[in-house]
Amino acid sequence: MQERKVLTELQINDRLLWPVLQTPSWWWPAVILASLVLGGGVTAVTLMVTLGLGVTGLNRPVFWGFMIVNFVFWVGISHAGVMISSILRLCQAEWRRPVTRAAEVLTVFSLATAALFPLIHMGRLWRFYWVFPYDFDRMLWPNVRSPLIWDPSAIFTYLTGASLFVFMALLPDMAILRDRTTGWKHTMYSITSLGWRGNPRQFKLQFILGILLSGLILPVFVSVHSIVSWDFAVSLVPAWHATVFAPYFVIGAVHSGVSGVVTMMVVLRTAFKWQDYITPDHFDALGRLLIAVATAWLYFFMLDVLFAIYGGETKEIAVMNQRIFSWPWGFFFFLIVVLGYIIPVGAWMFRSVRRNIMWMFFLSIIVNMSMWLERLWLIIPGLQNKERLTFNWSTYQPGIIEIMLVFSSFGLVCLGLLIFSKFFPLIPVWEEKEGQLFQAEIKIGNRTVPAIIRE
Amino acid sequence: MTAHTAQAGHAEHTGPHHVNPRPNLPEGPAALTKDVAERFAHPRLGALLVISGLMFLGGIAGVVMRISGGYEDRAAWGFYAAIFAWVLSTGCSAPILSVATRLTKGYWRKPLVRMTELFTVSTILLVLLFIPLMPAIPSVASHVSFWMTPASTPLEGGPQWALLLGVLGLMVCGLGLLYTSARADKAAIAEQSGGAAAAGGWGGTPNQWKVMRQGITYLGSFYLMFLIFVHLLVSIELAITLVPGWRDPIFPAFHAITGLQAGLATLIIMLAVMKRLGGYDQYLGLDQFWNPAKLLMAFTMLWFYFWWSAFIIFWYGRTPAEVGVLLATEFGPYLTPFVIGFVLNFVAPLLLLVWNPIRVSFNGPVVASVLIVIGNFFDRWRIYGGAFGVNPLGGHELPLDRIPMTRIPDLADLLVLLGALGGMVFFYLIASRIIPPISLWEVKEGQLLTRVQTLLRNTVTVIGKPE
Amino acid sequence: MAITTVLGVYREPENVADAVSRLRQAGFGDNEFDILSGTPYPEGSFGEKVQAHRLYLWPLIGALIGFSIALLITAGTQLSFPMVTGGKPILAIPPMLIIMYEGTMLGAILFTVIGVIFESRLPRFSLGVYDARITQGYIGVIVACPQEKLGHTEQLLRESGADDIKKESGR
Repeated sequence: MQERKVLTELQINDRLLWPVLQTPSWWWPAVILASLVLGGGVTAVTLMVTLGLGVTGLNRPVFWGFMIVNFVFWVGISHAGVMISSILRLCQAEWRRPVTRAAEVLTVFSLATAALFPLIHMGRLWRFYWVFPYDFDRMLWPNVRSPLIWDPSAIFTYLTGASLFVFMALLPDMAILRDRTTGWKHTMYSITSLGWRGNPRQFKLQFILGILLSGLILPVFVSVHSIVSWDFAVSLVPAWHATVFAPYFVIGAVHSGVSGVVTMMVVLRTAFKWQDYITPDHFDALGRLLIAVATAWLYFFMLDVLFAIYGGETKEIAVMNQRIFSWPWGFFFFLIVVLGYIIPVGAWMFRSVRRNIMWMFFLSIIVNMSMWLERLWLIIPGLQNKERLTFNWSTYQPGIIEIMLVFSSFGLVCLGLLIFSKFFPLIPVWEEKEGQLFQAEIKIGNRTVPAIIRE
Repeated sequence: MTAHTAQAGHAEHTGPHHVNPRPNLPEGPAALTKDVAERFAHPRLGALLVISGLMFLGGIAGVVMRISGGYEDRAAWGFYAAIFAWVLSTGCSAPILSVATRLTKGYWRKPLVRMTELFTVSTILLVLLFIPLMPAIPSVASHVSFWMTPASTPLEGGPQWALLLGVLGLMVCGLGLLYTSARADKAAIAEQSGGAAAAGGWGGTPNQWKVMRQGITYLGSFYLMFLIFVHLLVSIELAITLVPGWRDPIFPAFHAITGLQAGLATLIIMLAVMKRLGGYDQYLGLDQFWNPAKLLMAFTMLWFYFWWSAFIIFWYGRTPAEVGVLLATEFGPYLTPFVIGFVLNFVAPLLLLVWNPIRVSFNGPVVASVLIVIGNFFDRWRIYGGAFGVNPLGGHELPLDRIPMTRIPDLADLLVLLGALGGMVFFYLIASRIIPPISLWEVKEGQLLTRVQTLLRNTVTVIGKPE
Repeated sequence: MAITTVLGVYREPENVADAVSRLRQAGFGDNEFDILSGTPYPEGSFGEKVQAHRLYLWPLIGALIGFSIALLITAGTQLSFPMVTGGKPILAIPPMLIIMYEGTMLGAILFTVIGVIFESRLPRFSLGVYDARITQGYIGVIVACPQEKLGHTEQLLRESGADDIKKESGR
């Protein structure tokens, strides 16, 4: 990392804690806007509960539509947080420091948002507790053989792990806030910081916790989206039943998730004026990571398409034909490849683009647009003509309810992040201080080379 | 807090967790060059060179025996195809560590990078092994081919030519990578004994270094792309298309990932040989075993993940075609090799590597690596033995009464196997007598960019990051 | 014997290292003093030694418990409602493995967190003698000393450059 500033602990405290200790002028308008958008979703759900699932576009044979697309999309976004945080922590990459907490918090809120969608999708969501094995008299047990039961186990594990990861890494920062606040806030931080004092043992255990949790949560992160993919792949729906779905979904999740982190980093840097902490170096590193991830995504995508055609099964080829050559799926296919790979990766090959904040913001947005479309492209066409009796074939027309739910999911995640930022710093203060301590320089001849200290 | 400026400081490092990026090596470029030049001029492992050479010759005899048996019985070539895939997965996949660690800029890579690049000579063996295999690949018209051309105009020879181009491209990229990265070191060693004229045009100018680095980056990236491409072609043309109904898009990725695992394991074994017997003990410290061991553990888990992703879909779907594939390649006549491969590739290495004292040691990763290299062979045998045994081809599913029986390898097969193993070692040792096994310029760069200094009452290492 | 907790607050890390050396020379053991800081310094920077911990046991125990519970739930539900679905056996091992894997990881994660909290000697219901400047860049040296050594300890801390000294009488 070439861009370095030498900052005192007090300066770091002031710069990173100011959104918590004061309220930025844009914060309340942003909260109101996010709440209004979320309110649209609440209204949509209320209407659905009152009037029934028929108000949506779902009908035979397409019973999975926008809500499931959104579920898969937000589980995907949730993947980057832990991936960036855990892998960079295990590799001891110094540039991770400003990125980790925001990415982890994005994971928690996007995963929680994703988990809402299967509930909403149930229609009679007040009966969700029937999936738990608690009432022996009813003799109704969850079907362990169904991937729809594997899903909650995976998502619950991941959500718990990610939340605990965020909480434990927050302990030193909550101690700083405890020492800087009075009144009810002081009481709140005193409780939540668990009496943290910052002795060497506590910091050592924090370090080990980071390594251990990273090592534990990485396999969970891989398993979650794999299990979500098996919701589709284990069935015999044409174009769904493919062995590649697990790594394909995971790498797609990483692609959309890391792009989501890029979007969020641009917003944080601009809104909180964190130019000293979130530098073009970080975007450069994320851009290079994205080239590798996007290329792996394209590899799995091509494997899926080619093998569907190779097999020669009539239904598979019919669905692929529809997906690639008929409207609107052919247009979505074009957008997915162009917006998801050709334009972004072509641009990321240039260092000047990777270090340009606005370009990175724009590219991350188009990647996520393409990834949302990709989920739609994966899910709907296979369902439309899967029935044997052709009079059951139909198309899917999303209703206003589903469209409102899509937008409100963004509102929910934004609202969660905004509220979090009001109580906790989105850049880990203690990690930034540690990073300052580990900065060094080496003199070689006339050149001073930036260096880091390793224990 | 202020940034710490480190000048020259060579205190002994005694941190608790530590790993030492400044092992006990001669200090300074001239002393390093002299040290490596002396070791290079007096190479060891002569006995191993002779034994592996003899094994290689035995392998040639085995190939001749196999060819003289003809190509009518395709099942007889299944073991040979497995050996071919095994060489691709072990020796030819090992150089990827050089590519990957250059991209991630791990400082521990510096002493071992050249040793990984030396494995690119295994691509020569791969080409030699492929040529006799070409006629064993069945005609495109005889089965559901990946080339998807109309039945009236099958693209005969397509698989053979594509694979040949793939392995040749791999060889060219690999040898180019080795040459490019070694040029500066060859010049340095030659110059030390023969003066500047012996350096052959290498002057070490900034432009030459820049071009060299870019060349290594591009050739390394192309090597990676060719490797994935060859894994794709091998897994499709020599396995998937031979088993009717085997529609498995993850299989090429499984083949590549398991290949990378075995390649990494092969590298670790060779590092142990070069350290213990090759005379490069000082250059290969704990870091050079521990860090690859971490990667090996990750790849071991990925082995299972990619295998499981295919298995769960086939197990759940239970279509006749899928049941046929599972029986032909895993749970039928090739159950024993499959189980051996499963245990040696996943269960045993994971149980070993998950323990810190084993992972953070010299011997632990080596033992796990040996198991993986053996396990990878059994895994390739169950795949290609099963696939080549299917007869006749064609159709969209494999009837259960046509599941191929296990074919026990004969003398020709065993000679080819010994020859392949011997060939990889032989080619490597020959190459290590032509190209210095230590990447001198990288180790010198590492020395320049690391310092040991005191921080309050602690001794820490300062690592420069010029990028 | 009455123990008083004394906190010396320092601005310079070098002075803290000096204070630790002096405390050792004065006969204080590793478990009688501690360092408090807002920044994690590399281990041993001040000459302190961190006591051994047994954190690695906790994920193992958690994993075993999680595995067992998940096995119970999956096997129990399948055996309680033995209906063949999709041609799968009653006790379908592959799906069980998936849920058991998640249960194992959940157990390991939960117990790791509990283990860290426990080994960090948290939660701590009272901060005791503490200074809020510690999270602003100052470093604290906290000593549990018997009454008869109190004066000497204070002098020792001041001589090594403490900006401030705080005390709290204890047990």
